[in-house]
Amino acid sequence: MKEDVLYQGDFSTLSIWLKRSGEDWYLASRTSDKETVPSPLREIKGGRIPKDLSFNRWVVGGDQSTVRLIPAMPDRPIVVRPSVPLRVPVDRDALFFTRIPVWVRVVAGSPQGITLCELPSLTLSNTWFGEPTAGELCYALRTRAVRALEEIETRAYAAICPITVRNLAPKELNFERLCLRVEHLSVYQGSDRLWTNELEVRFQGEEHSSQVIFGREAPGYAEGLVKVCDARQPAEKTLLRQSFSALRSLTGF
Amino acid sequence: MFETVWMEITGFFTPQRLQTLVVVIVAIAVGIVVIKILNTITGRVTRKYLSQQYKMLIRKGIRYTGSVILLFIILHLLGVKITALLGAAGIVGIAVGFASQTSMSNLISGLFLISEKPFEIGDVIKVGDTVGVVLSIDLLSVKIKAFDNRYIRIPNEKLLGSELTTITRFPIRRLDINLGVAYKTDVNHLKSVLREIAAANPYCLDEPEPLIVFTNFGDSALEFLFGLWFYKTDYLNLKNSIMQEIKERFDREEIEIPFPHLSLYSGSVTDPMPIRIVDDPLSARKTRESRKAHEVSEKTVRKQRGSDRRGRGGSTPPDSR
Repeated sequence: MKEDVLYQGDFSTLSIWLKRSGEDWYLASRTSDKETVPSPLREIKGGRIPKDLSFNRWVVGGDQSTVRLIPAMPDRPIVVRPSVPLRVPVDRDALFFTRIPVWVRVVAGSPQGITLCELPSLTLSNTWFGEPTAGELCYALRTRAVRALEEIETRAYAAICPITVRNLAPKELNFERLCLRVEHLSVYQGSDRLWTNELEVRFQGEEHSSQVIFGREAPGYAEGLVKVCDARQPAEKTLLRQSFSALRSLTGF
Repeated sequence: MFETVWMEITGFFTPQRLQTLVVVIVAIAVGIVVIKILNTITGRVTRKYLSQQYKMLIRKGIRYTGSVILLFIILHLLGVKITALLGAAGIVGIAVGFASQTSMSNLISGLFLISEKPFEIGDVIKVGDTVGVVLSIDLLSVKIKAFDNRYIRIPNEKLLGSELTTITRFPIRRLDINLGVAYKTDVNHLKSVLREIAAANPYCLDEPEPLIVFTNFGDSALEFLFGLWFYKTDYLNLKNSIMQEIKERFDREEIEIPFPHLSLYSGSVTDPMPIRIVDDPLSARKTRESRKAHEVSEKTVRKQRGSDRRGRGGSTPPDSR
């Protein structure tokens, strides 16, 4: 990046302004209500900078003239809710794909670089998973739970997560929502879209914890995938968590 | 005079007394260091297992017990007979006990508070009209910091006897907003608008779902309760953003929020008070005053002209009279 030149990039609803001045980096961001046409960092001329932008400054030091924008998984688990409740009969599997909006990690310098900040390309609403007295703060995500790969819309700043739900319980699984521990997922770059590891969730009944198995490698639904971002936390092979939860109404008096 | 004082001082500090003084100073220094080391070790050992409240209690317990032991050691080194002192302390204790009933009551209330554990250090509590963050829970009182940075001490006795709300006890809370809309409003439309507002706000939790209750047919509005769940640290963010969003969205959707109007009636139940449009008295008075001033100035000018004419005729000018 040229010194003292302002660059701008648009990523879904997020816009970033970035400038390098000597050993310091200046960054401002803004989110809009509507998704913009994605565009990589580009040099902008004066007069097009919004007046109310608030810049942050990082004293990076050294001769760092490059910047990398890396797609990363969100910093909290995501509760995925199918737009239409899904039912999986006993002893059946269901594969579906869900899109997870990625975060943009701004890294100055190479090869390792220094992470300046992480910003969501799409701001997801908060949600609560668990009991009101003890649970977990998550992001909420509605999904169409697409069953066929061809039906997935390609979005530049969303990673596709293949999820297989296996119903091992003696009764039908009413899949209303699933808590995805995205901190254990890596991001892979394909030819036209981003991917995450494959997930397998073994449902053993509402009273029991579900077994979550994280795929160790890139998903097999696309070729030539390259890992671009490691998982925030390395996953154990299986994770026993209360992943499914029946809706409990808290809204009545 | 100076020599006499100096002689008395040197006479007092005999080598034996000086030796005792040095021993006492060393004992105080070692005692303070030992108490600090004990506190540090206990703090490190209990860091993972105990709450902040219990850690503070243990720290204070070590400090006070250590200080008392150190005091007895110093008294012993100074040659004071501790048995006699303890006997005297017993009698004094009874007297002090009678005199400090309130303190004792606070002390016992403090023990109950510690065992019951209704809140912890860092919690936001409400006692009466006082709201603040708990800074410390001591045996006699609880210290809290109000949001406007006031330091408030609440005696434990009062705390135990009054209604206490721990606002941050649970991780999520609900913000209740009472809304009133005009009678002409389509209720279904209003409900869907409120749901959309809640869904669009990132601080409002998706689950548990927002609460929308048609509460009352009010005097001048349909009254609704709009309850939004949020993570406990997002209170201000949610409150600030959602109120503005409701107002902006209602304006866009032309949903009217009625506000009180004041009408005056002259006695009849239904007929409005008759109103007769008259000139604004203030402007009328101003007009009258300006007319008067104009007339006065005209009279003065005429008089002036008359006197000028008379002056030129040989009479005395009016100013020189």
